[in-house]
Parts: sequence; structure tokens; C-alpha cells
Amino acid sequence: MKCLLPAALLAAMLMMTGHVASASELLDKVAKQVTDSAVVRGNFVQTRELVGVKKPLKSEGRFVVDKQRGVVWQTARPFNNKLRISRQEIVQKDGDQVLMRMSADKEPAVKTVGSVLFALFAGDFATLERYFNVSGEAGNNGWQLQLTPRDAALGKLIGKLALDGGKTIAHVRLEGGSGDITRIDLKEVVNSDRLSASEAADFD
Amino acid sequence: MLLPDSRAMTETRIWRALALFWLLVLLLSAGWLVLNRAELARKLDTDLFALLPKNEHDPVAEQAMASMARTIEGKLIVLAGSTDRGAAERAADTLSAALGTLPVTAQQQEFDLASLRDFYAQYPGVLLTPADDQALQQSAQYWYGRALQNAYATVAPSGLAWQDDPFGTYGNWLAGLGDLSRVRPDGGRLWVEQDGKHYVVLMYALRGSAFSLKDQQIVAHGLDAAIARARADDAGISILRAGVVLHAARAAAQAEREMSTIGLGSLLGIVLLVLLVFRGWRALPLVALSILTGTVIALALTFAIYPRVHMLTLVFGASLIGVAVDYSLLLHSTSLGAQVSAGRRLERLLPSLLIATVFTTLAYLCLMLTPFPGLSQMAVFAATGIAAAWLSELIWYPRLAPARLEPGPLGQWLLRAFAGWPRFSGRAVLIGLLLVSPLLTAGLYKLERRDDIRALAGVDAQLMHEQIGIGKALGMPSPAQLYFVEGPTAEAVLEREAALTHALDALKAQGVLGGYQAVSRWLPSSAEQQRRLARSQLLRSPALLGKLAEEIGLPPSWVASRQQAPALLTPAQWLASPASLPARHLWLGQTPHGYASMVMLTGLSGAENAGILAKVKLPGVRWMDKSQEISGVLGRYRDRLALVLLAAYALTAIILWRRYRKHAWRVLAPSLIASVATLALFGWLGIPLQLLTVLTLLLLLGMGIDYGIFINEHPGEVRIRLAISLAAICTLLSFGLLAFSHTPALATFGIATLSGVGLAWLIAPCLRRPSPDIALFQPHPSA
Repeated sequence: MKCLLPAALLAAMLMMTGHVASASELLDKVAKQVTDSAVVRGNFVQTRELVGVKKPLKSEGRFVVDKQRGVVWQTARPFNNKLRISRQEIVQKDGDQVLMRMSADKEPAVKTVGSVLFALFAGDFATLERYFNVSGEAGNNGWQLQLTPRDAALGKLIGKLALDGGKTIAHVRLEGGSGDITRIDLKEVVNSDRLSASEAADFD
Repeated sequence: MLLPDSRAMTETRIWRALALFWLLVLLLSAGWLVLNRAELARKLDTDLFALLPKNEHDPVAEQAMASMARTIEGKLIVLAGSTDRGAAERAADTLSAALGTLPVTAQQQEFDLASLRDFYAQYPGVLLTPADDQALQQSAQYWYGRALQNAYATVAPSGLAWQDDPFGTYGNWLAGLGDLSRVRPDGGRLWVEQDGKHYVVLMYALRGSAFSLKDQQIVAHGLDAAIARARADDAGISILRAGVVLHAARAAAQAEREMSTIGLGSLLGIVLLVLLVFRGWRALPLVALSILTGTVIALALTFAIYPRVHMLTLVFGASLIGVAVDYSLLLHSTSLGAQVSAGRRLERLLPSLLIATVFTTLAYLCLMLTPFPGLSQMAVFAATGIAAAWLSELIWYPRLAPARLEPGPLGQWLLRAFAGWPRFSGRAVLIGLLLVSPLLTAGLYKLERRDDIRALAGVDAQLMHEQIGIGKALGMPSPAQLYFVEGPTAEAVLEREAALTHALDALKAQGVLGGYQAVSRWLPSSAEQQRRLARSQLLRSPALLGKLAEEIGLPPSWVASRQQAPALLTPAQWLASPASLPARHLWLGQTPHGYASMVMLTGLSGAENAGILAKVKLPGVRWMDKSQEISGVLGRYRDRLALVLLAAYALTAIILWRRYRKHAWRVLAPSLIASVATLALFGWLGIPLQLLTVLTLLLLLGMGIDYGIFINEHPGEVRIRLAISLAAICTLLSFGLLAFSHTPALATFGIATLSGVGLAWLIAPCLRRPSPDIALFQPHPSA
């Protein structure tokens, strides 16, 4: 379950499209700004501030989101780690070695993650609003959103979620229920209409 | 001419005093019933569990059943589902808005993940997933890598800070709690997926009692209306309901309906019969009085004796109207054209009346020989009702009865017809029996023996279907098939439970069951906790912790605190915490011989799988299958009562032989032939032989002998034939209506009595002693 849920949410945010009318005017505006495409890829830098730990823990890597197949979250430094989320399962790999594999049939939580994820892939803002109370603002050149979970159980994992960006998501700040804080900066985010061969291999 | 007779027993002062006293008893009883009617109505029970036998030899099982019944009886669950989530949500909103006005309180999921997490965080190292337990054999390098991965992960699934669960073992254990329930909170609602549909789960607790008739009706009707509204909005919506209250409401409504059908039907039939058989209305008051006394006394005594009275007792009781009138009809019949005073007639008939009543009452009391509380109540109701009706006749008849009645149109016709009732000689009877014996033997050969708990209660099929659907969707454990684990100490119980769950894990892998719920999952035995702590020593090693602290940047105090062996969890601590909520009902605690717990099973189906589970033999572990157990009890008592029936026939034969000598068979044969024929008929109709059938045959012995006694005491008297015919017709009327009851047990009673009493009545006059037609109650020639 390591970091699956937030990663999925992040990935989903990247896929926000402007196609769907939303009840919320705010989300509607955000959706209009975010570019819609079949594939999104880019690099990330993650900084964690753990309770009781002075120095922040920094990691970086790249990610790719395919609207049909799911998300690959590839950490390169300080060590190799790959997380793949698809409709059926969530797999975490350390190089070629599978650290963890959870199938949606057996782990109901995976199914919840999956349903959030894919609802968002489809630009289903109603679903996003089902999981979170959304507030924030959207101007002409950017937007920022604060999301608080509606369910207490989800709130224990993610106390608060904040996103900002323009055509793509730029920053994510996630405050865990315990006080550990995670910041993610997304860089060199590119929209595309298909996966590269090596990216496609990552999904297999 | 009426003869004044100073020696008549019924004219004595004592008799007058008795008449007054009995009137007083009747008035007091009636007054008590009327004054306390509100409180008595609350004593009415519709709990189907109340009909089941208590298991006195197994107090642990009894305690478990009682605790389980308490847990479930106040609950109401409604599922609204559709392939479209939006549609399910809209239906759920309609339902919950409507249910908000009812005496129910909306409830959240029983366990609270946050309180579980906070409680068990105090006992790290006690709870591990099987995979992590396996991983404890890995190197320190592996665990170092895992801890680093967790530190760099986006968020910890346990909701704990990294420093409190660096290796993520606790987070994994928490993640594994997903299988606790199939219900998922999502968007402020509870959801469950089943057969491709999304269901919103609505849970309620009753504010009143599940067995209060008033609350039942309000909740059941309110829910029906809410469902109708949701269906009107969207015809495709799938709605499932479960709750003891719904069954209870259905059973109560049905019982009320049947009570009024049987009661009114019998009353109307009897009144019509009396008015047609006797000229004028003068026969009616005593008939009405005996029904009234029988009912009032039976009701008063039953309510006084039992703390709760089951509705089915009253349904059965309503059929007694037809039996209670027997004695007054009998006495009235003898007054047709009589020239002897009512008191004298009564005195002449008293011996037969007394024997007949004793036989019938005893037959009813045989119902008490079973361990089924419902049947005992019916026995008490019936026996007191009959005895009271009989006493009324005995005491009041001489005072109140018209000295002489004239036959009405039907009465005249019947008297003429019955005068020619055929009589068969012993030889003719034997030949007749020989002729039909192939039919009888074949029928008896076809007769199946089958006892089913479902016979005791007519459960609504639709409600049951919905309840099973909910049980499947929510993954609820079976309440009737489970294991008991017992041991001298709590520790021993937990150890034995662990051995059982180990065996169940293997069976689960084979698909015999879906899963199980056990206390030891939440509270491992202290020996097991110690073993786990020993295995997880590596995770507390200073070398590993020191290296992590250095890499991440934590102070030495962190290393020192993580090094300490955590505390062990004790049963007392567990029970006292809210974290025990998901499994507290499984812990039975101290029992007369040690400690006990239950292990409940989910996803169990098919008798074959239950058979495999029953074969699990481990020390202190006992399999219990409640429905099978009750079927077993039914079967055992069926065989036992069959012996009682045979003994009753033997005993009756001896008593009858002492009075009637070579004519004794004429009295006994109607019951016997009718019983055998009824059994054969059941064989041909495919109705299985069950406890209730045997009980009916006991009643049949009692009633059939009545007919035999009256007929053979006065073989030449056509008015006696009329009397038993009227009695039989009224009995057939009442019990015939009982045959339409939705409670299978009562319907069986009805059908068996219909066939048995009908045959005994038709046969009895045919077997009467040879005698010239002599009219009773004519003045003696000498007088």
C-alpha cells in the first residue's frame, strides 16, 4: 500500500481534462486550463519532512500516465523503485524484483484507489468531489486547489491535499494524518498522444 | 312431565355455591384480562427463536445463542443497489429520508479503523501479517531497505508517522483489515459491490423492541412505503432488507389474520349449525357461554403462567373453539325431545363425560412432553380451555339449559339419517380392513420421516431471500453454524483457537469456506505473542536501528525506545478497549467449566462443506450446527412420542377392557383405524411424518375415544350419534381452517386432524355394540 493512494491521485490530477461539465464552477475552470491528452509524462522531485527528523528526505524520478492503462511512478534516486497502477493490480518493483503485488480482487483498498483513479482519468469531477471537499481559486494563468477528504478513514491517511498548476499540475503538498509532510514538484511535464516503446514496456 | 327429584346431586346447595363460585372466577378472569389488556398485549411474542428448544445440557451454546440473538435482534439493514451509482444514491436518499421519521437510529459501521489503529499501535510486534511474519527470516539488509523505501514513500498507509512504524509491518497489518468487512466507506456513504451492482448500505438500530407489536408495524409499514416510493422513482432499483423486526412483523400480521379467520370462521359455522339443528335460539346461550369460559380461562391462565405468550399459541388456541363447544352440543343433543330434567340427564352422562374429558385433556398435555416452549404453551392453553368449558357445562348446565329442545330443520333430517347409521359386525370390519390393507400398506411404505426446523415457523420466503442476499453481499457470518472453543483458561482457549484457525486456513484455501472470525486474530495467546516477539528480535536490534537513525537523521533516543521489547496484550486490556468491538461478541468469557469463545464462518454454503467442517476434531473445539441440532431434537422427540403413543394405546386398551371387556375394541378401533389411515394418506400425499404428526395422533386418540365411549355407552341412542357428529363437525371446522395456516406446523396439525377426526367420527358409530334402538332420558316405565 506504500504511497499508492496519493500517487494515484497525483497521477489522476495530471489527467484532468476540460471536457466534462462539473457542478463546481471552480473545478470547471481548472478543467478548462488543464490540457487534455492520452498520455502525460514528466519528472518529479519529492521532499519528505518526517516527524522528528530535521533534514528533509529528497527523491526524484519520472512518471508517465496513460489514460487507458494506468500510471507508472519511477523513482531513480536515491534508489530504484517502480510503482505501477492499473485497473487490476498495483505492483511495486525494486529493479526487476517484485516487492509487492496487490490485486483489486483481493485487496478492496486497491479497488477504491482504482475507482478514484479511473474516475479521474475519465475527467469525472463528480467522483473527485465525492472523495474530497474542494476549495481554491482559478485565475487566467493558473489555479490552486485545497482538497480535504470527505471520509474519516481517508482523512487518517491524507489530512490535506493541495495542488496548483496551470496547463499541467506544478506542485502537490500532502499532509499525512500523522504529521509527516510530502511535497512533490512536477517538472518538464509533456502531453502526448501515445506511449514510447520503453514506456509501454514499463506497463507490462 | 318434569320429575322433581330432591336427591339430584346438581340440586344440592354445594352445587349452587359452585355455580356462583365459577361465575365469580369467570368474571374475575375476564375483568383481569380486560383491565390489563394493554400490558398483556405487550407480553405477546412474535420471536420465532422463542419457539426453539433451550439447550439445557449445553449452557455455553445457550449463552452464545442468547448473546447472538441480542446482537442481531435490534438491527435493520437496507441495501439499495443499481449498476448506476447515481441511481443507487438517489434511491438510498429516498429511503433514508423516509426511514428518518421512523423509530430507528441510523448507524455507522461497527468498527472504527482509527480506534483500532490507535489501540494496537501500543503493542507493536504482536500483530504481523503472515507475509511479514515470513519475511522476519530475511536479512537485516532487507529490512534496512524496506525502512528506507517507507521513508521515501509518498505517504504511510497506516497513518502513523514513519518513526512509529519504520518497517511498515503495522501498516501492512492494518491494510489487511480490509477483509473485516466488504463494506467500503466512500463519499460519506457505505458501499458494497455484489453481482456487478453498487449497493448503498443503510444500517439502523431500533429504538423500541424488535418484538413490540406496535414498533414492528410502524417500522415494517414505514419501510414498505419507503421502498414503494424508491421503486416508483426508479423501477430498476434493487432493494434488499434484513432484520428480525421484519420477520416478526410479518409473523405477527399473519398470526392476527389467521386468528381472526379461524376464530370468526369457527364461530359463524357453529352458530349456523346450532340454529339449524335446534329449533329456536335457546341452545345458543350455553354454547356461547362454554366458548367464552374456555377462551377466557385459557387466556387468563396462559398469560398468568408464562412471562411471554407466543402469537402462534393464540392461533392454535382459536381452533379450540370447535373443541370447547363439544360438551354443550352433546348435552343439548340429549335434550331433544327429552322428558327428564337437565340435571338428571347430566348425571346420567357424567361418567362418559368425565372419561372423555380426561382423555382429551391428557392427550393435549402430551404436547408438554416436548422441549419446545411453544408447544407447551399450546398444551396449557388447550388443556385449560377444554377443562374450563367442561366445568362450565357441569356446573351451569342444570341451571341454565332449557329442559327440552326441539330439533330444527337440519336436526330433524340428521336424526332421521343417523337412525339408519350402518353397523358392522367384527367380521365385516376385518374383511373390510383386509380389502383396504394393500392401500394402507403402500401408503405407510411411502411415508417418509423428515423433521425440519422450518416446520416450526412459516418464514416469509421473499424476506428470507433478501436476507440471504444481504448476508452474501456484506459477508456476514452464519449464525447457525459455528465452532465453540473451550479450555480451562483464557490462554488455553486462545491457543486452541489458533490451532483451529490454522486448520481453517487450509480449508479456506480449498474453498470450503470463505473466511472466519476469531478472537485470536485480535488477541493472540500470550505464548504466541512471545513467540512472535522472539521472531521479530531483528527489528529491535541496535545495529539495524542505529544504521537507520544515522541515514534518516533521528536521535539516539529513538534507537533506545525502539529497542525495548513491547508490552504484551492481555484479554482484560483487550476487552476494556473499543478495539475489541469487532470481535467482542465472539468471546464468551468464563463458563461453568473454564473459558470459551466462538469462531464464526463466512461464505459457507452447501451441506457437503458443513460436513467437512463438522469433521474438524481438535482438543477443546466443538462444531455446532443449530438447524441440524434442532432437526435432531425434533426427530428424537418424534421417535420418543411415537413410543408414548404406543404406550398410550396399550394403557387405554387396558382401561377400556376393564369397563367394556369384549367390546373394548369398538371404542379403541375408530382412533386406531383413523390414525393408520391418516398416516397412509400422508404417505400417498407425500407429507412427511414429523413430530407434529405424532402429536396429532395423540390428540386423535383422545378425541376418537370420546366418540367411541359415547357411542358404546348408548349404542341405541340416535341423539348421541347426533351429539358426536355435531362435536366432530365443529372440531373439523376449526382444525380444517387451521390447515390453511402459513405456519407449516399448524397446517400439518390441521390436515392430520381433518383426516383423523373425520374418519374416527365416521367409523365410531359403525362399530357400536349391537343394541335395539332405545331412547335415553325417557321417564322410567315405573315412574
